[in-house]
This record gives sequence, structure tokens and C-alpha cells, in this order.
Amino acid sequence: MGGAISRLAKRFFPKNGVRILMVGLDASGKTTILYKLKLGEIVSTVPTIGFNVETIEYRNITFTVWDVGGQDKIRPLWRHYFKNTQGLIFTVDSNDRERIPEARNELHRILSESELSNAVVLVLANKQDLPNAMCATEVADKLALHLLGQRSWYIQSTSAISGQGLYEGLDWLSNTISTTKK
Amino acid sequence: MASEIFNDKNAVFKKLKSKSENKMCFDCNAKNPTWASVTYGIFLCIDCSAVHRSLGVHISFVRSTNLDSWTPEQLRTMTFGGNNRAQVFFKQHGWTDGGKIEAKYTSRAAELYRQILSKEVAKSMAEDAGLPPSPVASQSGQASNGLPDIKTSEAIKEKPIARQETPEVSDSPKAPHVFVTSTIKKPLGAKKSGKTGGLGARKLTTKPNESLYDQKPEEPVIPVVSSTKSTPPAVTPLASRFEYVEALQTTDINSNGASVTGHVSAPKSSSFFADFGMDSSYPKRTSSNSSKVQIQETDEARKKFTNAKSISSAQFFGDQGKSADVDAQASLQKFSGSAAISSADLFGDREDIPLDLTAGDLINRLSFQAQQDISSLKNIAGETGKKLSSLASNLMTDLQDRIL
Repeated sequence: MGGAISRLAKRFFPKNGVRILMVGLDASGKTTILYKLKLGEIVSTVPTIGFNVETIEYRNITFTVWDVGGQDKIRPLWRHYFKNTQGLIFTVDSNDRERIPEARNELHRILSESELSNAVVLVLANKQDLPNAMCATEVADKLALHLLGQRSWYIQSTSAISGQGLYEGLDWLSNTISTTKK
Repeated sequence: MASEIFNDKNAVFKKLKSKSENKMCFDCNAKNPTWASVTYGIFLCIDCSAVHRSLGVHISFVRSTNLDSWTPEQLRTMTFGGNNRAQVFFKQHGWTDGGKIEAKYTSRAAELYRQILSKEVAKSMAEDAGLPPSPVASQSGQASNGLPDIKTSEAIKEKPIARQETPEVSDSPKAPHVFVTSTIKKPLGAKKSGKTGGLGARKLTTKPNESLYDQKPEEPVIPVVSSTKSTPPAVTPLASRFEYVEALQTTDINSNGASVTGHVSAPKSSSFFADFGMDSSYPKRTSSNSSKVQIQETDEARKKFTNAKSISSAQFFGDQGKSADVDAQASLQKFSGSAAISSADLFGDREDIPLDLTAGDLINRLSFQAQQDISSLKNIAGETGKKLSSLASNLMTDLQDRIL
């Protein structure tokens, strides 16, 4: 009987699974963000070699977030995670002004992949807690987001350490993905 | 070709890691570190690299010796630095092993060391860039690549007294080799990931003894430059890292003697930035050579959404339809102070008067949401109905079975 009820409940309130891929240059805070969302706390992370994957429930949506390492030599592996990705989270170290062009190139490169043609893009201008961080608008310019054309994108300033901005970004993701789905 | 050797990060690291000083993590003495802080030219284990990464790139810029590509400047920094030299320096400034990492690398001493290292590298890069590539260079480059390097480091060890001086000493040796790098530079321009590593080039037989006793820790570089520096790349501003890209461009544009500070993005777009008068406070370098895609930056978003914390594509493009700059300005101001901008925001208001942007946007969203909710409710209701009826029928059949 209990099983039936829970099955019924599931039927009534279906949880949508959404596949999210999180990429970005190395040390931009991907893993920290992932576990901040998952656990609500700051874990000390070592450089990700390979990937981390966690499911995050938010607003009745299950986000399956794939966090893939960002070192130069393992960026070519990103493409293996592209398939069926509905949302792309691209994290940027807002404090790293020198590598912003590199981030921009990576972003535009992967968005030119056909497998991601339908993915919406959430850019997280992370590390806003650092003193010299660029604001979201500056990051938007330097990433040349205006060239993304018809794709819907959203840039959010965040600080993984404080958690500021993370859920705003997820809000947008869930809204946008659920609307584009139907 | 010697230049190929210099381009090869593996060769450089092979050499550097053969030194005993670099066989242990600088912070925790773990063996065979494969990570490095370019800022200090030190080798780290992955665990300590995590701590460094958490400090921010303005404090310590971490690269993997295996998994990252390295610019020639970065490789050069590693050769100039090394665990031993850094250790000597830190010790001299009262930081012994086992200190708290964060405090250690945010200290004045650390800052000083950063500056010293970056100055040296910038200087040697400039020298190299100034020299015309000559066949001789390649020869000398090879020579320097080999043993001389090691000699220097040994010399340093022998004379612990000279601590402060020693680092500088190592610099002086490179000057003679300057030509080597110049050869390297050329290939750089062509290559994106810039492995033009000219690092092996600079250390010669050094005589640490001579310089031992003039202790000027702050002036690491002995101006031994025999070569003229034609390029005045103002490369050092941020002490921490060197952008080889800039140097490249300078080399290319050598004739202009252009100072490298402005924003350079893809080569073609240089005038672009000038048009927008981007702020020069932070020198931006573009690694345009590396990208396959040529992308131009604008300050459009900044104009539109001054301090927005977020921007959406809709917001951003919403005002495309408006011809008047003034209108755009007005809509931009709406977003000032917001933390996010979305594409939808930009697009949403295309037909609206700029001032109504937010309101219209909101209404659109609300109505959309409402529609969605209603339709999903309908779906749920339908599903529920089906479920219930199937349950009921199941129940009935079940009952019937039992009764019968």
C-alpha cells in the first residue's frame, strides 16, 4: 500500500531530470560550486582529474550536474559529456583577468559543437569574493556573449565560498529548461 | 633544432625535475610533485596545489606539469625559480617550513619574491625578443640547456650565506644566452599554446662568489645585457604571471615598439578596443593565436548593464531594435545594480518602450509561467484520472478474484 502511494505521489509530482554539464578553465571553482550546491558547505578540493557527478534537487527538479576537470590537456574530454546536455554551466574565475580570453575561446569553441546546439548557457562569474574580481557585465563583454546569437544565456555573478548567486543561476536554469522543453 | 627543444615543456620539466631540490613538494615534502605554482617557480604536490589554487591567481597561479600547457614565460619562471631558491628566500625572511600556507604566501616576503621573479623573467624575455634570431643562438641555447643550469643551482647550494644574492646571480648568467631565446620567439608567434620554451637558455657558469656580498635582495637582475633591447614590453605589471602572448605580439609588431599594455584581443580587433576606449587599468592580453575562433570583445554589456550582477541574453539583445542610443542607455540603466543579465531579459523588451522593460518582462514571465502551470496541472489531472481508474479496476479485479 505504501509503495502504491509513493508511486502515486511520484506520478502526481513528477521530478524532471535535467542533465547539466559544468565546464570552465582550471581553478575556476567548478568542483567547489558543485559541492556547495550538493552539500551546502565548502569542501576543500584538489584539482579535478576526470569528473565529479552529483544530483542536486532544486525546485522539484533533479539536476544531474557533471563537473569535468579543466586542465588544458583534459579539455578535449569535455566533448564526451556533451550528449543530451540540456544546460551548460560555464564557470569563470572573475579574478583571473589574464586568462579571460582563454575562457572566451573555450566557451565559443564548445558552443560551436552541434551536440550543444540546444543547450542553454549559464555563465557563472565566480570568485566575486576576491578583491579584484570583474563584475558580471565585464565578464559578459570579455566572453563576447553578444556573439552567442539566438541561444539563451544568462550570466550570474557568484561566490562559491559564500554561495551568493548560485541559486539565482539555478533558478534561471530551471525556468529556461522547463520552458524550452515544452 | 634547438628551438624545438625549447618549445618542449617536457624537456624543460625533465631537466628541472632531475634536480633534487625539485623532487619534493615545496610545501609538504611529498615526493615527485607534478604541480607547480608558476608565480613562485616552485613544484607542489596535488594536495598543496589545492591550497594554492584557493588563494586566487593573484597570489599563486597553479599549473599541472602534466595536464596543462605552458607558455615560454611560465617555463622560464620555473627555471629561474625552483624550490631551492624559493626556500632560501623564504627562510631568509623568517618563513620556515611548516608555516601556514596561506599566511606564508600572502606575506610581504612572498610578494617580494613574486616581483623579483617576474622582473627577471620579463627582463630576459625582453632581451630575447630584442635579439634577431641567429643560427648561433640555437647552438648556445642547446649548450645552456644542458649542464650549466645545474651548475648554477649547485653553486647556490654551496653558498648559503649568499642567499639573497644567489638568486640574482643565477640571473646574470642568462644574459649571455640571450640570443637563444630570440630564436625561440619566432616559432611562438605561430603557435598558439606557446610552448616556445626558451627556458633552458639562461644559466651559464656562474660565479656566485663575486656577487655574494652585495646584498640587494630587491634587485635580483644584474644588468648584464649586452644586447640592445629593442622591445620595451611593459610586461611586468602584475608581477605574477607573464603573458607570452603579449611578448609575441610585440615581436611581431616590433617595429612599432608598441608598449604592450593595452587590450589586445584578436589581432584584427585591435582598433576595436581603441574605439571603445576600454579601461587600460588592467592590461588584457588576448590569446587569440590559440583560438580557432576569432572573437571580438566589446564593452557593450558594460555600457548597458553597468553593475549588473547578472545579464541574460534576452536582456542583452532586447534593445537591439531600438535605434537610438539614448534608448539603449536608458534600458541599460535599468540593469545597473543587478547581479545577473539573461538573454531573455534582453529579448523580452524588444517592442517595449525602454522604461517598461522590466515591467513588461515580468508580466511576460508571469503569464508564461501561469500558462505553463495550468497546462501541467491539466496533465497531472489527466494522469491522476488514469491512474485512479486503473487502480480501481485493479482493485475490482483483485476483489473479484478473491471472492471467486
